[in-house]
Amino acid sequence: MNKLFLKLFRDIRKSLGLFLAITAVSAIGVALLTGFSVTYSSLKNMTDSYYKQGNLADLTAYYLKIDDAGIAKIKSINGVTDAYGRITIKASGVNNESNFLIHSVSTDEKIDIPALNKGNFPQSDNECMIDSAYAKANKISIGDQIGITANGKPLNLTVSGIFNTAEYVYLVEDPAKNPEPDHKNYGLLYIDKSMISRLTGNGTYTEALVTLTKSANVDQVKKDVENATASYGFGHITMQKDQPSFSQLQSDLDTVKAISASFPYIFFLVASVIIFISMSRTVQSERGQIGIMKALGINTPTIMLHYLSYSVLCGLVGSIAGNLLGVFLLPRFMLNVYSALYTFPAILISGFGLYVTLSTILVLLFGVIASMFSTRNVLREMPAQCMRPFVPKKVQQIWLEKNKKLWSKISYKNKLILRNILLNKQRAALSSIGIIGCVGVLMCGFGLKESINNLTTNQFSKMQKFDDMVLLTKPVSYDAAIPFNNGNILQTDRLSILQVTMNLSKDISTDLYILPQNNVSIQLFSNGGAKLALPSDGILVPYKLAQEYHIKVGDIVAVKLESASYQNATIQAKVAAIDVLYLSQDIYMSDEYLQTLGIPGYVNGYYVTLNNKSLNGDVTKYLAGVANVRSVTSNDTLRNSLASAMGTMNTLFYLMIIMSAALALAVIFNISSINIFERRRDIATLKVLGYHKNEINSLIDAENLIITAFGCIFGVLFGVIIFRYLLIITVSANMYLPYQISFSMVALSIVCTFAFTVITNFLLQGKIRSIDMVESLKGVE
Amino acid sequence: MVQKLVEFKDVSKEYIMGEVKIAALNKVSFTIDEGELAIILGASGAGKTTVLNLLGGMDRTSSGEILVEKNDITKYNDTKLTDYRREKIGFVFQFYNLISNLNALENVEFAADVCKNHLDPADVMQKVGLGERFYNFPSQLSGGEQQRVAIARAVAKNPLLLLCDEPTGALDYATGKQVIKLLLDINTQYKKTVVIITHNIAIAGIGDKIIHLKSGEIESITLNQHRKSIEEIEW
Repeated sequence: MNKLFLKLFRDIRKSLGLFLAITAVSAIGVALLTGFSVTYSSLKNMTDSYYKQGNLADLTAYYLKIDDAGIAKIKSINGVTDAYGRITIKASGVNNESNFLIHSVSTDEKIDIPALNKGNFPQSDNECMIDSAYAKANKISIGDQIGITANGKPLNLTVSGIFNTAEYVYLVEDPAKNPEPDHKNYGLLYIDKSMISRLTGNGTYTEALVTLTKSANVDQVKKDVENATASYGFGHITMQKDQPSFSQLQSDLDTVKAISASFPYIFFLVASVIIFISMSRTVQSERGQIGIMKALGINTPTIMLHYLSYSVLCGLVGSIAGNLLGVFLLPRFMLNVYSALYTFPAILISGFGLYVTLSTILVLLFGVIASMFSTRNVLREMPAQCMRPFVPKKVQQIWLEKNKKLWSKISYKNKLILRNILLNKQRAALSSIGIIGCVGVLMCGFGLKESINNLTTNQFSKMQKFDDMVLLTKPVSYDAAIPFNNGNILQTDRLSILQVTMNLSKDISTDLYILPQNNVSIQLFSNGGAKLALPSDGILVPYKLAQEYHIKVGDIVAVKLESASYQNATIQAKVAAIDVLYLSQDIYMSDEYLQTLGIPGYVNGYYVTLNNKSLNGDVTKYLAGVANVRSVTSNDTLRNSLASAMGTMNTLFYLMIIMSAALALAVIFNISSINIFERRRDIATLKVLGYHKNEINSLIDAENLIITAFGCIFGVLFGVIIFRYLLIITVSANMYLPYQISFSMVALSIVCTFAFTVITNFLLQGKIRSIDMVESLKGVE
Repeated sequence: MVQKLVEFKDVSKEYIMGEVKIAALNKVSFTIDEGELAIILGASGAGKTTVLNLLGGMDRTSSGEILVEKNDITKYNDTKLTDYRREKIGFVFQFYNLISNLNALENVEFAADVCKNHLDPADVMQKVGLGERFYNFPSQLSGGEQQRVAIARAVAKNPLLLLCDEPTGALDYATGKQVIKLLLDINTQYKKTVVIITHNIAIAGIGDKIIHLKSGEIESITLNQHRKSIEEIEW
């Protein structure tokens, strides 16, 4: 037994490359599984406890005005555990370009509780607390003064505390404007409840935060809340899961989880393929030794155990290396990416025990099963049978030879290559698995990159043709004159953006954009790529929304305009066409259609197109100074901020390229090494016959290239499937990345795969060179 | 006038096995004439295979010169040595060393393919008596048949030298005799220079020249005026 272990270690040392390759592929699989799972569980544990600690509202109801009596009515509804009123005001900074979201806060309120980092809750009228990300970005500390304008009133507030809140882990002012948090220019400002009346002139709230019992019938509660508080100017209800911050984080969590459940298994499978092939070869070449062991009276399970130990050792070493990466490195790296986007407390790496165990068991299981399959035939033989020389597999004519004409035209070199592949179909097929995995993963990488590039071009060059978006503080009537004029402005289009609730199978909250039909700012496209003009007889519904809620052209949908300017009217809108939107699923409508519905239009923004785009900086400065202008955002700023928000996707992209390269190199290198080892007598003979180095290399190279070509065919099919899956799991709820398999992504994937094969071929030349013709010709081992 | 085809001049070969130097050949000198059938005779470990490997361009000497057609092949680089094996040498091995994935005819064609003035492979296959076994793979042939394919492969290259390393070593008596007869025929019919390595003294009688090696040195070189025919020898 001890001697068998000695043999094991000597075997490993003899073919260290093979051992390392199997270990490396196992380690990558383990690292991915543990890494993504631990990232998920750490994030999940943190958010769960953070949400629990902050007691996140189950639903938030929005009102024109609601008072304590109204809140009391909500509290008494069956299924509601608690409810608080809160006021929300938008404000802007006096000395800078920041915008603020002001909430009232009180230490007695137990829903959406902010967590203090430093200082105290605001106690007096001129105190406030500010969110930690804004404080950090603007270097604000306790005691500093902040000047703001809220409801037209200037206010000077002293910072009494700095906080985080579970309600806004992902803080964006307006996802349509900028999907990425901009902590320099947008902050949360919480003031004491007593201050509200001074600001608004009365003691009313604009929203109700509500928590529910676990068993509450959500739909019934929503109806009850609406009925009970209809008289307070009931707006709409947003459920916890539809809240932008919550849903954004949830979708990222889902992505991490889905990756942890798919990609690692490709690596486990490939590792077990290499184990299977190399173990089959080892056992085959050690038949004589196995026969001797048996003849000496060592029982089959012991011998079996000896060979299983090899894969167990690969698995254990791979598991240790992979788990070290997966626990300490990968989650840190991923969590740093997320920490840049989200504001949450420090994250503890947690929950790794389970995944370390799981990945270790899985990698061992794959290895042990593979080696059991490869050894069972030889181990079943009788000792005497084992010690007799191996009867070579009957070489038969391959199917190609039946076509005499064709076969005679093929050179001997190619005949040799073809026979070798076709006679070792199993090995060729298993090698292809590595290639298939490689092409598939590459296609995901390039596809993702290309989708994002296409999206950026479509969104910012083809669809958003304006140069600046101007938003107003107060809406003005449709007929009001455009409040600015500048020699560089080519055209200004009136714009009305408002929140709407669509009454579909459930209430969907989204934005409505109202523009004149003859605008030059926005060009929408159908799913087929045809240009769509704003229709005069209906609305445009985005493709993703239409798919999800089965909306067809010609349908009539109820759209509630959530804006005081429109008296919260509900319109029955006809769906005129389906358009494609990528970043958010908004509704578009023409002014002309709004007029046919008999609703007077209001303007709360403008799209501006310039003569000379290079002077945009001056124009935005000018526009920002115009009275009643709340913000000016240039199209370029939007494009740039999207690019950085896609950071996670880019990380994924590079990870995929590295993963696919590792797959291809490990598989081709190992399987070819085995192939070369088995054919070393043939290769030695070729050397003796006077074949040159490159002629011999080309035999092996050609075989690998053929297998690569073959694997590419199935790899593309696999890529098509896995890329579709990846798009589903990585895209957040509001985003739409069109599923498109382009020629260039397929071509690039194939080219890269071939490049990997060529690199491997190059690495293999050393092995071929090292075959000693004299040694190999001596005798049959 | 008989030409000297091969000339070994003070050829030595040392192997270094870890820390130990093993002298496989020590200042071996001999010549082989054109058209000659030379036998290199010796016990196991006498250095026979080393001589063959050096002559065949499969290994390098430690010192000394090997002149083949007056060219010193010890001065050749890898590429030239490969070309030398390709154009000048035909090998026959104890264990045949056929390419398992090519059938008998293809094995011969495969080797002939790379030489400039090779013989017709099918013709040579007929000559070695394997006209019926063209399309059989090595695993479908007996040992004797495989060795005859190997001989055909070597002959089809139309080499300057046919080197045979224990060609009968893995064969039974009767089959071994057939193979020896074939080599004799090739020597006489094609006028090929043949070098046979063997430990079998009985075979020595068929050669023109018997080079007897012992412990890496030449013990004797005997010229045989009366070559025995195959029927006269037995072992």
